[in-house]
Amino acid sequence: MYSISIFNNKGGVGKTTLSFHFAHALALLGKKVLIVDLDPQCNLTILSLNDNKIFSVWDPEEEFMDDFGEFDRIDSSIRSRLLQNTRSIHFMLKSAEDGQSDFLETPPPYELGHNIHIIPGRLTLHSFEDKIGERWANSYKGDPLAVRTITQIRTIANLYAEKFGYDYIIYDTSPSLGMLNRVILSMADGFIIPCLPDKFSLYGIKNIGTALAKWKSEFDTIVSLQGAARRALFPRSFVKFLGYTVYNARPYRQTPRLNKWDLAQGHFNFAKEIPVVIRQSIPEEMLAHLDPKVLDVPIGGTSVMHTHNTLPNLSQKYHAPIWTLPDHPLATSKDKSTFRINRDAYDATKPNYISFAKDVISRVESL
Amino acid sequence: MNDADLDLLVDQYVKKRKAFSGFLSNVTDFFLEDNDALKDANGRSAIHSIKSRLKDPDHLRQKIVRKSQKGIHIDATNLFSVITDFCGARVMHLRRSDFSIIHSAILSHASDQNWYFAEDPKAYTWDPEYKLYFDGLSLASEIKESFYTSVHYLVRPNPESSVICEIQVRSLFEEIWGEVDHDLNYPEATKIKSCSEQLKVLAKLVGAGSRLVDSIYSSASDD
Repeated sequence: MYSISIFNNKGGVGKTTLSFHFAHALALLGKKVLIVDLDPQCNLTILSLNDNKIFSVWDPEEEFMDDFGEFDRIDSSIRSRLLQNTRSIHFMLKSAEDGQSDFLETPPPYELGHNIHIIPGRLTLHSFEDKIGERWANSYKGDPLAVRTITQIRTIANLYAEKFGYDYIIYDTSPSLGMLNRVILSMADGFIIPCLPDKFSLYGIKNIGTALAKWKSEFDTIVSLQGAARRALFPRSFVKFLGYTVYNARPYRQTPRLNKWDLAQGHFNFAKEIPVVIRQSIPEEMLAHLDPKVLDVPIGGTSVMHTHNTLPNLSQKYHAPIWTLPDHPLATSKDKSTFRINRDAYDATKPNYISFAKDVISRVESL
Repeated sequence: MNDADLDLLVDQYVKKRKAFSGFLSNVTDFFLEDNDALKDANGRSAIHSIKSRLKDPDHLRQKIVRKSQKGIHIDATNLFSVITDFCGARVMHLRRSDFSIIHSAILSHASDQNWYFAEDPKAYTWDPEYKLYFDGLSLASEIKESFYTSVHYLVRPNPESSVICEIQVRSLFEEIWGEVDHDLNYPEATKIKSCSEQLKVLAKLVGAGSRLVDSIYSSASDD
């Protein structure tokens, strides 16, 4: 299993759209994929599941989210019904958050399609983040609950990978540099930075670099202080940078080409700075495994670089990847005519995301 | 050793200080938290009190200078193995029977792989009877000319770690002697001969005092 966090300190760069389509493309390539929605805003969950399904996950959990101690006192038939159905990631983390014993069952992730599943998010996840903040300092002295809290996401990911045979686990995250993302990113295997071609993204990368350097030094110290048993809960090495993408940029096609990525010049000027800022900002040890030539090129080249315009909006409506929409069985007749007019644009997204996913796979497999 | 080299070594420690303070809390928690392994048959804690400290960077600087004046070479590769008192905890007890409880609690915490010994535990004593007592516990003992008495353990969180904490276990009487000795002889030994002599007499008094405390408690329990 290889876990990937899609992360940028800047919001609105298309993280959720990219994570969703990337995960589906991996599944098309025969990889077994689990998406874990660790963004307290739950955008990926809302994109993937319809409202009724979300309600059926969240509602039965409600009464245990204030005090997980309640969960041990309920009738065993209610308990087993809860654990035989999809549960949110916060419900699974709740026992560690409240210092209760873990349940041993593994509620099934929700199936989005062949080879692709999701553990939905939950809007209450910020309370887990608060506990990480409270307990972080205690993990230095190997306090068992503190160590359990900061490693629990990884523990759950490993458990699911083992039980269901996932090849890739994709974490969707919020754009913050807070405690939750510190733990997610520090303990993932690899991360990808999606960027818009603008100045904000360049500053976002600088922020990530500074945070990663600090996180790694704290992480190394914490790991070095653990006894043998608790050490096994941590990954063997710190997260590695897999690459960046330029996302949602305005194409400008002409002959001869305006620039190597066929971008409007205003976008190209920022886009070409991204790899430069990455080299300056992301700590060397997280980049060293990448050939400099590979590092400079966006993942998948220009395959997902150019704007999808409004295609993702209909993807949200039907909870399905863009390329499946024209043949979607539930499409309204009005949407069907939209799909028909733009059919090529919808279809083209499939090979594009597949070439993006292939590039990620080749970067991971070269490690 | 020049100042730049010295700065570099001290800085190396400052960068690692958080690791030492983290492990030091782990050690002090072990002695402070409610722990049955540290209680006697009546449920009374074998520990009277504990003290702990993290080395001050300025004191480290002075220590490196003193070591290099004595011809001991310290560089970035051996800093954390030559100097082993970056962090330390001192555990005080009242009776000798308390010591054996503390000793076996430390040994079993280590055999459960929570701590690893960087060196074998060692007892310092000048009293032949105490030496026999330590022999009975399979504890190596050594006589210090100064008449210093205490038992030392060097522990670390895992076998690869260079973060080492020194645990000193001693009786309250021994603590009094240790404090006076420290004031008088650290960092430079006193040159006042009468003080040195009196300190040796104090060591005998401490031995007698500790013995008297044990005897009082054992008389009380016989009754």
